[in-house]
Amino acid sequence: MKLIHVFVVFSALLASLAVLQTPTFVLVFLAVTFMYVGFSESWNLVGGYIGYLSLGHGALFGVSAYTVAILWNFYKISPLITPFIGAFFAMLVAICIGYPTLRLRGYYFALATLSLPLIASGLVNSFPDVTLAGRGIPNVSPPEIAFLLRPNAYYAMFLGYMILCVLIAYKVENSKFGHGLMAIREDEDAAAVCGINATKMKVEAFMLSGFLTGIAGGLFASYLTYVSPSSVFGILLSVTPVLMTILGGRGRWIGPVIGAITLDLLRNYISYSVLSVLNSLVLGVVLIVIVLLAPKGIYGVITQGVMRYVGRKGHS
Amino acid sequence: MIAEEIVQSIVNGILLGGIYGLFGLGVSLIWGVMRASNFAHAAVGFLAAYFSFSALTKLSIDPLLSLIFLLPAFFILGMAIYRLMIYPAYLRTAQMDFELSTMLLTFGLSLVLESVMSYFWGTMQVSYSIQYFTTRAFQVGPIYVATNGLVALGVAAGAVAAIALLLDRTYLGLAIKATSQNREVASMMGVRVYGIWMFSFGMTFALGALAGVAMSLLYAYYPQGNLIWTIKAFIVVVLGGIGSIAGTLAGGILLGISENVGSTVLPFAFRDVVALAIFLTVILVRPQGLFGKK
Repeated sequence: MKLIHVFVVFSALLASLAVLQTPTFVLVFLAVTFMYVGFSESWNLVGGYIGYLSLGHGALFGVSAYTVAILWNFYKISPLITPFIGAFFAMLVAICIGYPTLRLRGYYFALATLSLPLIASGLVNSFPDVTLAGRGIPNVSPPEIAFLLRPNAYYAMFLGYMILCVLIAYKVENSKFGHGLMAIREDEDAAAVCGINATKMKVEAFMLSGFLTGIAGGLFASYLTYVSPSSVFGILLSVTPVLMTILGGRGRWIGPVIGAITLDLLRNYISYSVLSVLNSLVLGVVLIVIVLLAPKGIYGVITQGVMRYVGRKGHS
Repeated sequence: MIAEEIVQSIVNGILLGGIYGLFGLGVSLIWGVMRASNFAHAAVGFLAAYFSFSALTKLSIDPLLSLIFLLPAFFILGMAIYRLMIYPAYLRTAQMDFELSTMLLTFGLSLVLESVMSYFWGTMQVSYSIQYFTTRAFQVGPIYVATNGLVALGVAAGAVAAIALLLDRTYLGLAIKATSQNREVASMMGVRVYGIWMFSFGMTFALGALAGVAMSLLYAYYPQGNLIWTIKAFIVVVLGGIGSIAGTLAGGILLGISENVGSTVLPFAFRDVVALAIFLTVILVRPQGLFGKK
């Protein structure tokens, strides 16, 4: 039995929590964690498999969230349908940024993506007619869902989103496409010699990543019931998937799953017990420590440990 | 009238561009020497700006005078960061990963510095340009030139000249250039490569501090605002061509002018969009930078 089977079976079991009488705080905590698993999984498609660090995925997330909120606010289109439209717009942004920058080294790409959330929030603030500027768009909520059933409904939706993302990542990892991406990460020139159209594949991966991120953003808009520049274009939202993926292990589908769950538990603990101004301090320190001490993440540490154990057994 | 406004915004752009160039200088140096990207560059500059702010308000020391203490302090801080973070990462990772690791490490550092600054100085904007200069601007025909901007541009030009002299006229500079061209050969010639790296990292931090203090003469700042300055520093480096010292200053002035003219013609919020658009266009058309050699 493979790890992915364990994951699918386990998630299927988790689905039952939505219909059982689960305490609301458990559902809410898990729903957000699931969203981050999927979000990190989509970041991993670019940052992990190709090794191009996107430091502004929050902007793609936010573009979609704003699309959903605006479509609801002005045209009353239910936020249950529009995440896909939002995801489409996120994908368009991904193409516009990815096409020029992904032809070059990761350095340029990181820079362009890093500037995206800042620019996006600047633009949002300067078109108050459409976006209501810094106050944000309130009351984004699907009318189809009864108020009391909201936690259960969003739990189910984010669970589905997470399973979708993990399965796509798993598929990519074991496909020709995914092997191409990893070849680009290892040695771009050699990959090109082997007949891989590196630019095209990188842009495709970034598009896919943008689309999946957009779904999360679109769902998050109506989950939170409001969208404001600080809630979607803050730097912490962009850092979070980076951190979660690196913490768990880059370039593996399992990495973001481990990382997101670990960091979400840690973060919840911190935000209750430590000063909130130190939130980014903790994230920064975790990032530095992980890169220095365990660049392959928790999964890397575990597999190394297992290998050492198995190896020792083999010798005796 | 419109023409005057545009000339005015070009003048403002040149003054602002000096600071952009100054921020770009440190980024360009460390990238050229050891292929490390310093995403904490402006955060370091902001920290220095906050120190000089405290020196001014608590001890009433002139910001430019406080540089006498700040530059050596940040030089040492830079060397310490190199020793604690960058060098261990270099030992652990392969060259390809080293670029990514430095990006992540310095990004983490910028988060840490940001929250340290928020903790000690608060998240509100800080500014002292008003108390500092008695004559705030002087007039040349219909055009106003800000005094503090001129000082900042002078500091930037001085720093560029000093770095250029260091690189071209001293043995140390020769060793730095040799290291950046070819590490192996340089070490065969007796250059202590890791020592040069450490020195360059210290210098990058000192340059960041200098840029931060120069920035604080003109602009209000707050801890979370550092990121956009780092991005602009990198854009300047890309515009000027990586490793070109004079090109960095020219790139800074170019960015400053185009931003200012852009935000005169377009709505103000497009200021940063203009910068990003220029950046994307340049890397599409001329990835080695406007003044760089392939």
